[in-house]
Amino acid sequence: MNIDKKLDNGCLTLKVEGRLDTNTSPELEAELNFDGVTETVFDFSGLEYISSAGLRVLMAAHKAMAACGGKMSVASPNAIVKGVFDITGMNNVFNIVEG
Amino acid sequence: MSTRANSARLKTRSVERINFAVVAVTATLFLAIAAFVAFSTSKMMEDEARSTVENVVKATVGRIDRQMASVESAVENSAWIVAEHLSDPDYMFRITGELVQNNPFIVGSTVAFEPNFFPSKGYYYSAFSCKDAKGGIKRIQQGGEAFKYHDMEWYRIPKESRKPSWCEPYFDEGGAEVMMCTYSVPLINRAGNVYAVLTADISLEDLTHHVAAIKPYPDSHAVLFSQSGKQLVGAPVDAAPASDTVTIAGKTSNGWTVELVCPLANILQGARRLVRRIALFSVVGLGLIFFVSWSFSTRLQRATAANERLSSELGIARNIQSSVLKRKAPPYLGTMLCPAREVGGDFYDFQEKDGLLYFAVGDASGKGIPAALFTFLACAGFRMAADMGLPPDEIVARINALLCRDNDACMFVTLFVGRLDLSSGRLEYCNAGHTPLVVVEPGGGAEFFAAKSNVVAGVMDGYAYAMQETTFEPGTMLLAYTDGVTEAERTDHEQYGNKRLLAFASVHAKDAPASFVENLERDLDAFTAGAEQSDDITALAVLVDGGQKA
Repeated sequence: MNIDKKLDNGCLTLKVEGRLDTNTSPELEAELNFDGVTETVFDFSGLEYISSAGLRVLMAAHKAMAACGGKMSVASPNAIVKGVFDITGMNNVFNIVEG
Repeated sequence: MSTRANSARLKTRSVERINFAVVAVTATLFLAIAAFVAFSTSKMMEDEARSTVENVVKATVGRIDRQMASVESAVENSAWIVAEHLSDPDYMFRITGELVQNNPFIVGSTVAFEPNFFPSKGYYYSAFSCKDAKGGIKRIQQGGEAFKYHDMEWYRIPKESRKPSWCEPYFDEGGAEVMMCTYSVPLINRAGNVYAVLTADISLEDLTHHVAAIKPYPDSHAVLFSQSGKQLVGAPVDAAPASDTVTIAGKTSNGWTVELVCPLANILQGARRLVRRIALFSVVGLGLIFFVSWSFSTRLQRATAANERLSSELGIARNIQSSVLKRKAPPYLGTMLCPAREVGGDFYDFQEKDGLLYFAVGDASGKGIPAALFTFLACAGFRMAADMGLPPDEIVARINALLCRDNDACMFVTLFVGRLDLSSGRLEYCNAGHTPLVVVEPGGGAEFFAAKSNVVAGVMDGYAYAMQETTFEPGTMLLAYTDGVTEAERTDHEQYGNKRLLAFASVHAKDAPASFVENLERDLDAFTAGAEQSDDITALAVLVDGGQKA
C-alpha cells in the first residue's frame, strides 16, 4: 500500500494505492490527523481492494469529520471497492464521488 | 490450551539447552585454541632455544679449538729449532722463552731431555721458561732429584705414544694457582728415538671463566669436561633432572666436551606467560558469554511466562467463544466456524421457537480479540431479540442500537438474520451489509440470492433496516456464510471465489446440512493447500422442510 498525503487550506487529501486490508489499515489510520482539517478526501483511484478493516478506518474518519462539522468524501473507487461499499450499505453513509 | 502451555515450556527448555550448548561449544573452542597455542608456541620456543643453545655450544667449541690449535702449532713450529741447536743446551731457554713471550695463551714452556742427553748438564735437563710477576720471562732448569720428570705423564705419554698429546688438566698448586693444561710434543732424532719432549703449559683460567659465563637463559649453566671426563667448569651435572632441561653437548678436537644445560622453565617462560594470558582471557570471555546468555534466557523465560499466561487466557476466551457458538445443531442445520486466530470476529447463532428457526451469521470488522469482543455484543443482542420473537429487521435494529452505543473504535458487523418457518419454507430476512445467501435447489442448481442490502450494524444509529421475505421449495438448502469462504486464498493469492462456491454447492446439493458444511470445509482446505488462513471462515446451512423430517 502507498499513501500520498496533502493538506491544502484545511482540506486533507489522502491518495491511497494498493490494498487496504487488515495488515495495511493501521498504516492509514496512523496517517490520520484531523487538527485544523475541515474536509477529508480519500482518493481511491489507485485502490485495488478494501476489507472490513479498511472500512473501519473510513468510518473513524467519517465520525471525526461529523463531530467537528466537517465533510468526508471518497473519490473514484474502482468497481470492486464500489461493490464493497454497496454490499455493506456504506454507500448510504459516505459521500462517494465517481471518478 | 494445556498443550500450548506445554509447548511454551518446551521452547524455554530448548532455549536453555541452546544456551548451554553455545557456552559448551565456546568453552571447548577456547580450550582447544589455548591448548593449540600452548603446544605450538612451546614447541616453537623449544626448537628455537635448542638452536640458540646449539649455536652457543658450537661457538664455544670453536673458541677452544682455535686456542688449542694456536698453541699446538706454536709448539710444533719450535720443534725443529730445538733440533738445530742441540749443540747449545742453554739456547733451549731461548726457545721456550720465546714460546712464552710470543703466545698469549702459553704461560710456561719447557724442553726436557732424556737422561744424560747433555753430559755437561747431568742426568736431568729441563729448560723451563715462564712469565714472572712483572711480565718478564723467568728461566729455571727444573730437572733434578726433586723433579724426576721422566716418569711424569706429560713426558712419559708422548714419549711412549711418539705422538703429541694434551695431558689431563690439573691444578697448579704452589704455582699460578689456576687450572693448567700441558701440550707435549715428542722430539724424535734421525734414528727414530725420542730424545726430548717439548711442552707448553696453558692456563685454563680465561677459558673456564668464559665457559662459566655462558648464560643464554637466566638459570642455564655450562659444563666443561676433559677427555677423561674430569669436570673443569660448572656445577655437578646431576643438579638438574634431565626431563626438565634441554642439554646440548659439543666435542672439541682435543676431546673435551662442552655441555650447556637449560631448564625448560626458562625456555618456555614466554610461552607459559602467553598461555596464562589466553587462559585468563578465556575465563573472562566465558564468564561474559555465560552471563549474557543467562540474562538473555532469564528475560526470555519471563517473556515466555507472560506469553504463556496470555495464551492460556486466550485459550479460555476461545473455549468460551466456541461453547457459545458451537452448540449442538438439529439435523436440518449444519454449522462451521474456523477462526484465523485464537478467537474470531465471525459468529453464527440459531434458535428454534414456536416452529420458527431464528438464525444469524455475522462478521465483525477486523480479526482477533477486538473483533471477538464486538461479536459477543452482537451475539447477545441476537439472542435477546430472538427470545422476544422479534422479526429479523427488528432484531438487526436492536443489534445496531447496541453496537452504535459508545462505539469509539468505529467497529461494525455485517449481519444476515433470518427467520424460517420450518414447515412452510417461508423465510423472512434482513441483510445488513453481509454476503448474499446461496440457494441450493433440490435438483442440484445453486445460485446467489439477491437481497436488498442495508448498512452494516454499528455505523448508523437509528437506521431503518428493511426486511424481505420469500418462500422456498421443500428440500431447498440455504447457505449463509462469511466472506472468509469466498476470499480464502491459496499461496498464489488466487481466491476461492463465487464460482467455486456455486460449483461446490451444485455437486453437494444432496448432502445433509452437517456433511454439506463438513465437505465445504474439506474443499476449502484442499483449495488453500496449507496457505495461512487470513480471515475467519463461517458457514451455516439450513435445509428447508428439515423441520418435518426432524
